Amino acid sequence: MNSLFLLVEMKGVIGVGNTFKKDDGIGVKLVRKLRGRETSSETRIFDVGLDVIKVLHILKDLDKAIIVDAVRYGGEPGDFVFFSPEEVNSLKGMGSSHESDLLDILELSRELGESPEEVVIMGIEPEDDSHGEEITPTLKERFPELLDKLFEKLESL
Amino acid sequence: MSENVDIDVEYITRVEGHGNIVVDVENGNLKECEWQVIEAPRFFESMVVGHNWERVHHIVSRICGICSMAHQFSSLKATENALGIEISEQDQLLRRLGLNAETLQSHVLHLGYLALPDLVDTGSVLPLVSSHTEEVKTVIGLHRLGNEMSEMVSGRDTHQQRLIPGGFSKIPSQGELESLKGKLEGSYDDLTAVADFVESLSSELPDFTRETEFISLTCEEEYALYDGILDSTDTGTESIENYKEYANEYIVPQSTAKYTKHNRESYMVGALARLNNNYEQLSPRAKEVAEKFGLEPVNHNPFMNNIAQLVESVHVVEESIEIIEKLLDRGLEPQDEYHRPDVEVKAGRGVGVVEAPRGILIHDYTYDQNGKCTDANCIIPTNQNHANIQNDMESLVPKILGEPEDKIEKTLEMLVRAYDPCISCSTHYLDVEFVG
Repeated sequence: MNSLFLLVEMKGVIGVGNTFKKDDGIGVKLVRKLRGRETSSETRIFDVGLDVIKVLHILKDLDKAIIVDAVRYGGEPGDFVFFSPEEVNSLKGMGSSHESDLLDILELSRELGESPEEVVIMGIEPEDDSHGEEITPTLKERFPELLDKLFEKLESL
Repeated sequence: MSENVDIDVEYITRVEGHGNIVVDVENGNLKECEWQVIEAPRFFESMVVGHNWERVHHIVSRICGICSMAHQFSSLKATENALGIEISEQDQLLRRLGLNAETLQSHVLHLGYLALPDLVDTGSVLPLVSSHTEEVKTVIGLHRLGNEMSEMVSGRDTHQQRLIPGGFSKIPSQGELESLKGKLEGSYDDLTAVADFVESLSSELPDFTRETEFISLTCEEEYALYDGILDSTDTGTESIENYKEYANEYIVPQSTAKYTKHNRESYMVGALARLNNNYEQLSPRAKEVAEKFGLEPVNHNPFMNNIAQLVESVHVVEESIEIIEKLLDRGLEPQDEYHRPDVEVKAGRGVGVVEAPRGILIHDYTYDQNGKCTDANCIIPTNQNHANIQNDMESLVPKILGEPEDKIEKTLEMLVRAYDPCISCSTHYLDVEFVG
């Protein structure tokens, strides 16, 4: 791992989602905004868009990671939850197409022995994932809070 | 023979996007056999309308996380043709290198993560990590090489930002190209190892043949990926501007995606179509791999598309080394960090085409005098294959009815996966429930 080599702990924040499908792009939009903030530790920011498998290659060089994504978990639109991959099941079952890709990738990373010591997913409940470049007003209103909470989580890792 | 078969695969796994397989056999009679595409249309064509010529390729890049560069190249070529923008030979070589990188990324991803589990008979790639550790690590290493190559050429390994109408906003350095050349040369052993592994499992690929039409690009100078004209195994060549006469789009009740047909009821695009049309232009090492599997034109077994992808993976590595040598021999022309070509904006229409990893990808734009897009049409490879998948299924099912139902189901899933369909990458949010 790079970080071991450099003897510096490396954190990463990874945004996943489609910015042309309204709230589906919330993860990407949050990590882009995070780029402007000064962090107390070595942190790399990644916008992987729809290339979920890229997460596998990113994780191998990190010690701690937060993945930010739209997640339907039964909350109110704009609500968020931090959880580890082990805490959830995909409703569609492992190995299914798009919905569980990320969970598959995280398991593959663990199986290969490449996973960071800590991986946290920040899931934000979307309101609308139809076509459009803007997130919904509901999520827009919560955006500063979501960004603050993401930053706090990053600092506490 | 199975008298009654009821297969209803909702959301076939290990393909990009959502599709269903439905087969219903009653008293030995095939009553229903359908490949259903059930994703909501994405309307990217209407999304780009109203946007500026400099922005359109960034928007369409988000159609797909796997072949985002192919979408950008097709889009850029359409815009460049519409506005009369020329690009330098150096930038053309770099674009070829970029497309090769994406082809390697995509083919290795499909072969290693999505298709191999069928040949080893595991539900996913995960069990392979413990049973075939070295092979999985080799596949992942090749995938990482494709990513690194893409990142070096275009700044990122997906949704690239350095690609612009007229060329690149930034180009790689001589040192970066030299380093990449070394890594590509070092990957031959890994490619051979993967080819040997797949060969050891190749008896698992169903021996099924149905004659069909294959359409791809073809080009006198090279194995056509970045450039060329349309070529059909049935009817020969045609200029790109006449693409609508090839991809006659039509609607079917079981699908939200448009289907296409040309000389027959259906045709196939992708690696097997390219190999069938352009076999002689494959690189020497790629031909050796094709020979190892007895793959020669014209091959009508759709399952061999997996092998054609393997052959092309070797081809793009070998060709990329040649491209880098050419770039280094001629010397890199210096370019500003934030290069912007001089463009005289004018009204016009342009068509752009490349071979995406999954087949011919066409973008067609019209711009007004201010450079705003007023009309767009995109012909996506996967849509061109849907009708062929349906026809294969109808031909294949009666031949395998003697098998147990779960075997029939697996064979049909393998058939769909062989086409490497990318139904939609546009919505991906997780749907989860908490444990305990």
